[in-house]
Amino acid sequence: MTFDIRKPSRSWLIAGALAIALVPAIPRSHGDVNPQPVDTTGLAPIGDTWKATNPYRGNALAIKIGKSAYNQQCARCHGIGGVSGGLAPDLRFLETGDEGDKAYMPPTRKGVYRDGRTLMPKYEGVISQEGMWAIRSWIESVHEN
Amino acid sequence: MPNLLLGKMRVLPWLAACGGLALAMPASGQGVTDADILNEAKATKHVVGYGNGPHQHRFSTLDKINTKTVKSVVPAWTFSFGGEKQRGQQAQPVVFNGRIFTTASYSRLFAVDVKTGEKLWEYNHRLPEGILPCCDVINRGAALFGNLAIFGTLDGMVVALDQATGKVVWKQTLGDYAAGVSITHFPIIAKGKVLVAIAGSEFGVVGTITAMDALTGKVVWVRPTIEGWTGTKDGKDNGMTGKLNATWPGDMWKNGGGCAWNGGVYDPEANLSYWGVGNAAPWNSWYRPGDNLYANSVIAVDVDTGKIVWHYQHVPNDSWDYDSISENIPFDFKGKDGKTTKAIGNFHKNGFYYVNDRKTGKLLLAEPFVKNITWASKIDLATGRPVETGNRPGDPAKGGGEGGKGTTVWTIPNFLGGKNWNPVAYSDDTKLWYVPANEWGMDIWNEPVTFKKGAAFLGAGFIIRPVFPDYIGSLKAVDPTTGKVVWEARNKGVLWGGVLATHGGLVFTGTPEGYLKAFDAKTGAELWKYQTGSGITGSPITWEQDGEQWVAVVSGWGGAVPLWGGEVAKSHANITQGGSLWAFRLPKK
Repeated sequence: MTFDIRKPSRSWLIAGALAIALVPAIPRSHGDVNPQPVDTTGLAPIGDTWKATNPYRGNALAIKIGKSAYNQQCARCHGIGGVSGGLAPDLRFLETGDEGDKAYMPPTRKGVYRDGRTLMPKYEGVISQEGMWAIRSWIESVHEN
Repeated sequence: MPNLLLGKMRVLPWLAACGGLALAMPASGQGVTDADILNEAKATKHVVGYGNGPHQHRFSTLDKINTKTVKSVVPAWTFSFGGEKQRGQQAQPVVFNGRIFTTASYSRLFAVDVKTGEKLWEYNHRLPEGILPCCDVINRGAALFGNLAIFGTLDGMVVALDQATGKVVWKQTLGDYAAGVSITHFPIIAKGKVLVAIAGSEFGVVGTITAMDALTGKVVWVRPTIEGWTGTKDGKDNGMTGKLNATWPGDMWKNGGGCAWNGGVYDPEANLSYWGVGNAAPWNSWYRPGDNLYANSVIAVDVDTGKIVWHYQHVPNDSWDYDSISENIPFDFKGKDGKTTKAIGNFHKNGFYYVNDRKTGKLLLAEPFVKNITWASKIDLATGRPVETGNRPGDPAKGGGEGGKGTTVWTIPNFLGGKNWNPVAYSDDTKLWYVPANEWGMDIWNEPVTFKKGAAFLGAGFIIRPVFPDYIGSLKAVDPTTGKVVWEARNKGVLWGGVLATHGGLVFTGTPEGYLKAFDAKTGAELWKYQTGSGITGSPITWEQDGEQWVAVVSGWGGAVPLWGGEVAKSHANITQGGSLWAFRLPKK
């Protein structure tokens, strides 16, 4: 999706002059009410019910989307290209199929918080369900035993 | 001219009008004073700030441990952080009044008896579930002032504790952790104020530097680092940073990044503080044509007024995540013409060593300190701007990459940098810089991206690779006048810890393989090493007690490198995590 870069109108100029540090910026995605950091255009929408298994298994478009999304949203802990540096789990070794889906979804949605430590942030509310399954599709595609 | 002080505007909504949460009486005038901080470089019995003196030369006048005696150095004691919490340990400890203090992973602070290594007290900051540090749950240390120990937390707070009791005296919140704000750097004390910058550019967080009264936490001034945002002083408008839309298009400045996440340096003579401003957000520069001030710049901020006095931008319109966060070290620069200028030296992520006049910011020298830089052929001394080679990842709108991506380029250095956060030392004896450098590169490409609070805001993909088959790290001794490398000591893994130089003719630094090492400052010969059991990414210190010289460092592998993994993971496989503070000495006679 292209990003609409506009010249500032007068209202922007005043807003800029009045802007004080740390006022959170309005999420911007031109023409889109609910901005998504993972663009899943082209994948069949899933809706509100959480799937138990990957509806995009083996889907080439999902794998492509997931590869990019993983690199930007996940690689900073799980490692570039799925190759862990030893601190976070190496997702290449996550089981394929339904078994791996069951292990993948709960931490991705809810995060992992144990004994006062955030081991993984939660992505529900940040990445859509479609985006999460696209990432799962890519992880499956780099599976190793 | 519009009224800039409308009542509806919330200035930093999470700052209470009374200046944060004060839980105990402010400390009295005892303890660490402004004079202690100013005179630190010559004082050997304590270490109260970052870098052994406001100029942060990381040079000690102690010499009982020297090139002849260092081979006999042994551990005196070791202290374990425990608590089922490991991950990266990147602190520089501090020593005062019989206690040694260090922060640890997950926003912890320990006070330990400096002679025996026994724990005095421990503070575990209660972190919420949703913290978003980009690059490990680390902390780089606590500053001492008065009776307080002050540090920043992973949920964007600053906490001050009583040195003797470990009780919280005040707390202040500087940003919204759910948006990606965290604090990791060692705070700077200047004239009774504590100066702290937030982190979070990878989430589009806009950088701020906040000055608080060090004894009470009351906010004095806030300076945003990105053009278009307005600072405050004593709760009132304190002028816009830059000029709206001068170098940022549309509303891109609103999520422009520019966090000065590695802190600043206080220059008492000039009454200035020099801050290294991080990358512009998103990494995809095609969304934000223009220089993007003051991202990727050094800014000089007046300690009293909170205004930017001068700036120098290292990387206009950054497309490589070449944060300008390296420390800006005041020193006397002797030019090739023999003239001496009060300058700052900076070993940048982008592979260049910069020298700037610290009164004006004017560029005096820029030379590569790593090999095979690809993104610029040189830095033009007349204009101060890089001469780029066209080595930018391509615009996705123009295609060139597979579906939706722009063209990929191979770039040296990569986004982890020719040097990262870990600080250099400058020896007042050899007059050389000692630089913990890394030689590596990346394939990088750009992709479309949308901002959403709490999500990473990059618009880029990358693969990082070493440049040479047998090493990444290189400890380099660099001539400050010419930028020439006088010697180097290579390391298989990266160098990700700070450096210390001493009058004993030694240079100390730690390695991911677990060794604290001492090198001959003149020749680079390795004279001593000690295996601490986990990778060292902390900054060593040295001080004197009971007439003897001691050295301390934290050990515990983690940080950005084992998190980003990828191709460089191989060079760091089999390094186990840890979490401990080590103290070394010469054997008792």
